Amino acid sequence: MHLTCPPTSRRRLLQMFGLAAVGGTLTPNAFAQGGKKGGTMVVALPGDVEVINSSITTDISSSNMCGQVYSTVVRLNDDGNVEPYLAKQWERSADGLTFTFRFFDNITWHDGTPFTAEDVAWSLWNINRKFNGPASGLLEAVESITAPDKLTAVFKLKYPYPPLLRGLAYFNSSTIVPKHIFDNGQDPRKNPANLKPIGTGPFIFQEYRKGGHVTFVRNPKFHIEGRPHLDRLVFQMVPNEAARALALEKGDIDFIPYYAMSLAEVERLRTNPKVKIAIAKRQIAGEYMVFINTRNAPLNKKEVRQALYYAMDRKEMLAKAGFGFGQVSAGPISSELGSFYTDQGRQYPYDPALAEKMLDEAGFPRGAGGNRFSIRLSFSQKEAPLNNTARLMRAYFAKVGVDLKVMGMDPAAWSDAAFRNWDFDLTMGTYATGPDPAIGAETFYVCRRIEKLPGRNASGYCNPKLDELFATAAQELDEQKRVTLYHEAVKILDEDVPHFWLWDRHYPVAFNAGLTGLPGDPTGYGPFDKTRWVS
Amino acid sequence: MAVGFYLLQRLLYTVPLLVGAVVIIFVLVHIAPGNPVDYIIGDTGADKEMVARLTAEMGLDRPLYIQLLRYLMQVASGNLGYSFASNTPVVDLILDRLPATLLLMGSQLVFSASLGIGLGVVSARRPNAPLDNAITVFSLASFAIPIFWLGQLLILGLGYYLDWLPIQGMIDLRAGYTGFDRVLDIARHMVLPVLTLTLYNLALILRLTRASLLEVIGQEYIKVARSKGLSTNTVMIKHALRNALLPVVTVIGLEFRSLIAGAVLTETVFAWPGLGRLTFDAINARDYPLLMGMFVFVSLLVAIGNLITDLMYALLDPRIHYQ
Repeated sequence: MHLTCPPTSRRRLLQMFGLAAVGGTLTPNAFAQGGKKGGTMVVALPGDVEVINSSITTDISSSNMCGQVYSTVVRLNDDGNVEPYLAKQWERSADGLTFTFRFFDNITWHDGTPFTAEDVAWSLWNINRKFNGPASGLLEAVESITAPDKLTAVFKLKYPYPPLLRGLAYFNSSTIVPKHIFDNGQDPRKNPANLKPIGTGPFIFQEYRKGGHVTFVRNPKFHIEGRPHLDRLVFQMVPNEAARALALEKGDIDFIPYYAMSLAEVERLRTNPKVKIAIAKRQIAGEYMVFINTRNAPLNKKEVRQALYYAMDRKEMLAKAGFGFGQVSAGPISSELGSFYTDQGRQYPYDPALAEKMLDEAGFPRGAGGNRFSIRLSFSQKEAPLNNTARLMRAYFAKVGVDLKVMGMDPAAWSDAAFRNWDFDLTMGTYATGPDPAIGAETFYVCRRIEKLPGRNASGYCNPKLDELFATAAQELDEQKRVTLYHEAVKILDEDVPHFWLWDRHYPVAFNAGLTGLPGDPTGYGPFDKTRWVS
Repeated sequence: MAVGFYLLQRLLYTVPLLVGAVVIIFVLVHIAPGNPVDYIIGDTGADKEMVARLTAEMGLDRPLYIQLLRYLMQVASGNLGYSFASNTPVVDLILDRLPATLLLMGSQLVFSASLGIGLGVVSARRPNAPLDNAITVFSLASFAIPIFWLGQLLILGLGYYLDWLPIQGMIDLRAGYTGFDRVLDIARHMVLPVLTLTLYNLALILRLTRASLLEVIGQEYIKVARSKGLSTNTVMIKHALRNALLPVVTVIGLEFRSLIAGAVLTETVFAWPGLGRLTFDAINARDYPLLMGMFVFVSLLVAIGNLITDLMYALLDPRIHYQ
């Protein structure tokens, strides 16, 4: 059996989403194919999971496991291109208002029940849309999802929304759960299947030891012939970063995904011939960024924000806090996001003298003690690179006469202060700018997203011209026009500086050198159906 | 009869103690910054309606005193509620993790108490002798080293470089042992975390045993025992130790409260699937029902620990009677 997709339609889709331009993955040999069947792979998790159902949670570890036990309508291949998964073909109407998906006819749920298009329509509409944050945003453009026959699903859109297809590949938003298990009139969050998942994916759930491990076994009826290759897949919770690295070296675990990888351990692991390091290509294209509260003086002055941006040596920050895994950001869209990325906007290379001059001109000369003003910087202590970033930022700002009060907080308290109460001058974290700017970047800058919710426009920045650009780009069907519109938006943001964009993240992963066929990890949660042991 | 009445009385005292603890903890947990809904929806995407619906479903839109009253009534009916994050009954979550923690903490308690008391006796036999000094330095050093660092050192030394012992988890996931092999496998995995906790905890018991014994040894009845011609060992073990153990038992009783607190770091370092990590995760997620459930559970443990300690006094010292 071959996975097929109409050539014309597929090429068109690839062009539409700029996928052809998403290249340059630092793909290691181990991502290549080859090897033997059977064996067990142990994957390290940084902590426990509450549920194994990413249609109702956004937890990364849960999404990673759902990538093994469940499926999505489409998936991303190692190069980040959309490819068939549950759906073997799809087409979009000329007006961009209808997506029609046709599914493989040999898919069954792990309990033997045949999979149908009704599962897709019901799951996305009744579970994901209502109980999963990213899905509720993704499906905002969708008016209805119907299943005219057992193997066809039709998405009717309120307005053209090109990012939808890519969004349907993501296991943290678009996991399809079985209608016959969840459609029972009960609260889906209390369904026992959340801890004993029944999916259509390459691995079947076997055991969950809370706080310990989750075991999956090979699905012999997986609809892609000849896969998966592994007999068993175990996710083990190893909360201690150093212990994860040592366990990999000892051979107790085989794979440390990007979200469990300590950057501080990478260089040491590189020296071990039994271990390989690779940089995973992640289409969410994350950036470390600082939200600036543009409501607060003196940060309400654009010139002050620009001056402080010049005051930071982001190259040094990346080297010292990010261990060099990334690229200094050129703006609000990461360099990992292909043609949407541009460095043609105003850039802010390290220039403390210019920063001082601009601050003087903005009306903030040094006072008696050499200090111009004081501002606060908050962040979550959980995100390891931010501690060093904050220390460096304090030193840079001190050099230009700005006193920075650093406040490392517990994650929940930080989120509450920054996003629920807007109680910050500067606050920083790591955020997605992709997989499409309409899904990732837009939410931080448009006026309608000035809401007291996590991951929204907490800066309070509002520019109607920018809103118009983002709105037009999100619905534009012509790929090149979309790219141009987003480049225009980036230039405005680079000039107005509602955020400091520090560096575009790269995502190292570490694994046993005997493994091959690991997913190029375009979503970060992809199935291990191609993974196998070579030694 | 007197002991039975005493027990009943103590258990009755426990009720207002628990209610007071629950009220204080409930208020503290709820006024701390952080929102459980934010943890569930993640950091992107969710619309306002979804957030409002989840807030209402969790009962977080009600005034705090109403939430407290509802919680107290719920607990009174024996129901600790459902975890916000996993929607699993809190009791199930706690009971699921309890065996691993009991195994770890119980083992370390047995080892640290027996080793601590044993070494304390050895130290007290010849105070300030080289052996006493060596034991003192060793115990204080192991107590002074932060427990997470001690754990890391043992992992590196015994687990990584010498490769004698597994360094994380409770079982070998690749081997999939069953039966007695599984028991042995768990025992091997327990060695490093139990050793870490034992080294850390035995110092206090050891020092207390030594000091207490030295005080008792100076008393008249010990001189009488010696003058009767009893051997040093008999005097130390049969006559002095029993009385010297009262403060030691008090300290061991207090160890119950550290069942959770003490386990967090060790469970993190050794990936041990116990209650410590569960509590830590619940704090991060602001999972109020789970967090409250854990605190109720710990309060209960402390009350039981104190009760057992009091009963032990009477066993050790016949002069103590309960009325």
